[in-house]
Amino acid sequence: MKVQFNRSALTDSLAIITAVVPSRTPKPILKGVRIEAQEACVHLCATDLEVGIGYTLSEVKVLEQGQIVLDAERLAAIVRESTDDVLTLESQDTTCEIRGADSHFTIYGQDAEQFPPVSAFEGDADVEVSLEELKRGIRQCLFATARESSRYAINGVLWEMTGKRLSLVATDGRRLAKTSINLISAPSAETASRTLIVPAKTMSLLDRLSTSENKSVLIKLVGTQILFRCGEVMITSNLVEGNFPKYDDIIPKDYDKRIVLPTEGVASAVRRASLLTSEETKGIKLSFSDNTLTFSGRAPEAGVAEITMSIDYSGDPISVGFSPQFLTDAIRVMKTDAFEMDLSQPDRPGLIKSGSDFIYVLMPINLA
Amino acid sequence: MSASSVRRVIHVDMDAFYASVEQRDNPTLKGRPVIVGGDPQGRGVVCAASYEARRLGVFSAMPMRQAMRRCPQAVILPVRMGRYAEVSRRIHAIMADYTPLIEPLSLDEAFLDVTGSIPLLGSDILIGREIKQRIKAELKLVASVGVAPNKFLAKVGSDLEKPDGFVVITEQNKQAVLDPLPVKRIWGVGKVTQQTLASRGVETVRQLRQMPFDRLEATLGAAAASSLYRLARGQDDRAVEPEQEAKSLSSERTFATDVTDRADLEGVLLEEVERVATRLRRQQLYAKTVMVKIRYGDFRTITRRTTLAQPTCLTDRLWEAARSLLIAWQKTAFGPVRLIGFGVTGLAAEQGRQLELFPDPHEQRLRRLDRVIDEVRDRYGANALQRRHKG
Repeated sequence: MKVQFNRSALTDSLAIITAVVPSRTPKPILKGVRIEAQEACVHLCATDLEVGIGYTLSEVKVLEQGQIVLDAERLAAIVRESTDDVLTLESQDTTCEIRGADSHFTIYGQDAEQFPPVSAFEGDADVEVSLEELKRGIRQCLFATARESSRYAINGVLWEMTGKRLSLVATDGRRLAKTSINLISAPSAETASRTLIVPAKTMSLLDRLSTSENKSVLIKLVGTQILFRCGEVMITSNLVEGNFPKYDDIIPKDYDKRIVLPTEGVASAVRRASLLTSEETKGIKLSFSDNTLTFSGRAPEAGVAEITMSIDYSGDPISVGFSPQFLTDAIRVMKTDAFEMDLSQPDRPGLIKSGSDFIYVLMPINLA
Repeated sequence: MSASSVRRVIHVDMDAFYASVEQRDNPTLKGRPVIVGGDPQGRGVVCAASYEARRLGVFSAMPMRQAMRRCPQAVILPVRMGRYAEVSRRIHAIMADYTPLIEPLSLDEAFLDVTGSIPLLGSDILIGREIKQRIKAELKLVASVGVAPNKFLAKVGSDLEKPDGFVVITEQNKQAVLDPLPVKRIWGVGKVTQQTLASRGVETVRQLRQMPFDRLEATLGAAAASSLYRLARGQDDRAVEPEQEAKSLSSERTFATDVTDRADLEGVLLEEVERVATRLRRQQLYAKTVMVKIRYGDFRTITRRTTLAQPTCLTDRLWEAARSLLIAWQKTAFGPVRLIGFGVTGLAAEQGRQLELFPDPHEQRLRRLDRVIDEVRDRYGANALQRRHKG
């Protein structure tokens, strides 16, 4: 293999490729990126066996076809630190020479034949969505997924399709975020009937795709895998097996206390009240009474914070404790200047709605 | 903060607490010398003696054998710490009706800062009397109470007319109360300081007070001198510090002979985990970090710890973590074991706990299991039900 790469294009591709490469793995070859030079382009690919990524680079000049596996982090660092516009990679068996104007690296790689196969995106897409819309959806739910929960199903994002709408739902067992996005075309009844749980890692990878042009994402379901193609990038991912909690049951529908709140004002008040919380008392208290909302934080031995806000509220007084992080997470992804908060009891979940798409259910912190 | 002039502090000290609890629980012991302590045949010491026994020369920390010689007719009882702790909690509950600022020193004594309660409840003297009366009426136990402007004087007060004492010390009478006392009644004056002072002819607080500061400093050093100088004048501005939450819980077992059998170690570790888990649940606490402690036959001691994803009080979750620490240790640093222990830190209370939207069904089953086991043990004793780990 002998290829001349446009260095900046190679840097960009490796930046997203290395996001898939596992930092620790019992299989050393998975720390590599497979480089395959074809007639007019080069395919880069990496996988952690759960999520795989392929990247087709066309800003290349292939002088000799061939393939090799190189340590992804090391290659990315060399390419990133180089100063040349063009870098030449030339491989012989499992050794690769990287040359710039004043540099020459010899890298020992591995046999590309040993690299695990990564599924290819073949045939028509089952679903199509604009990348921008998909990214909005991801940002409005991904933060709520569980991190390494023993309940695997909630380590992913639930996809539910109805007509030309795709709902994305994520929860860590303490709060739940749900949003909806538009699809470019309605999927087949068979596709729509499937319950999909996409790993958080895959969702965050999609969020990293560049939206420089008006790109769309093609999506295809193959067995227990989901495949994405967006421009030069191809992502394959296992679906998460298991049952997503029956989330519809916990979205409150019978609440009597409904308050409209200013997004920015609440964001600031939450930040300020949380300045006086501690490791033990992580929660802040939201007290609603006659047209006033008070945010308070208390840190034993440090002090007390209180921020008051005029609101339109005439119901019974109620005080609820919430994690400031949970509140901030949701406020940050809202697209509206105001949002609605529904409450019933201090030990029942709070419901937040912003616009017509975003729903957030969060469990309180015990204040009693 | 020169709060000493405005603060009101009460010291409550139970009279012969352990022995009094025993006499109250068993009325046939009333009026008889009762000694609570270790095994009289072994090397045990006296933990507590009733006033009847004290009159015959038996005191705390005296070897049991000596106590038996002085008072052969005494009723000897084993220490029932759980029972005393329970009674202590009820005393604490009475005190908590008057102020949240309670600093327990042990099961049988505590300081209360009632400064903030006076506008609501009258005066410090009324509060002190009421606490003493309620302990008597509700628990049939006798407390000695000192009421004063600071901790030091409150403690001096509770001790002054023991048993069944009630002493009020004020800014006005404090010097008259302190002056005739021997210097050993001052905090920080132990045997050595007492002797040093005695060699300078200082035996009472009055004599101490009359000593110029530079001479006191030359005799005892700067730190002790400035402390004694102030205390001799009844000055003490240390705050009453409410009970600190337990920062860790642990339990360990020492083996008579070193253990090398891995299954035996796991079995014992599980018991220690259970013990700690039960205590966590009793105190409604959740632990974030678990720790396994191992002491080898040669006394080398190591600890292995891990942090849990979620704070827990479930035996099963704690055991999972402890067991994987033990297994990792067995793979790398195995050796004959003299002591094995389990502990938890990073404790958080139920208050301030993030509630669950979707309770994990498995966790709920574990919670129910723990509750049932705790109930059976509460009723039938700690050994009524044992968990066995699957090999």
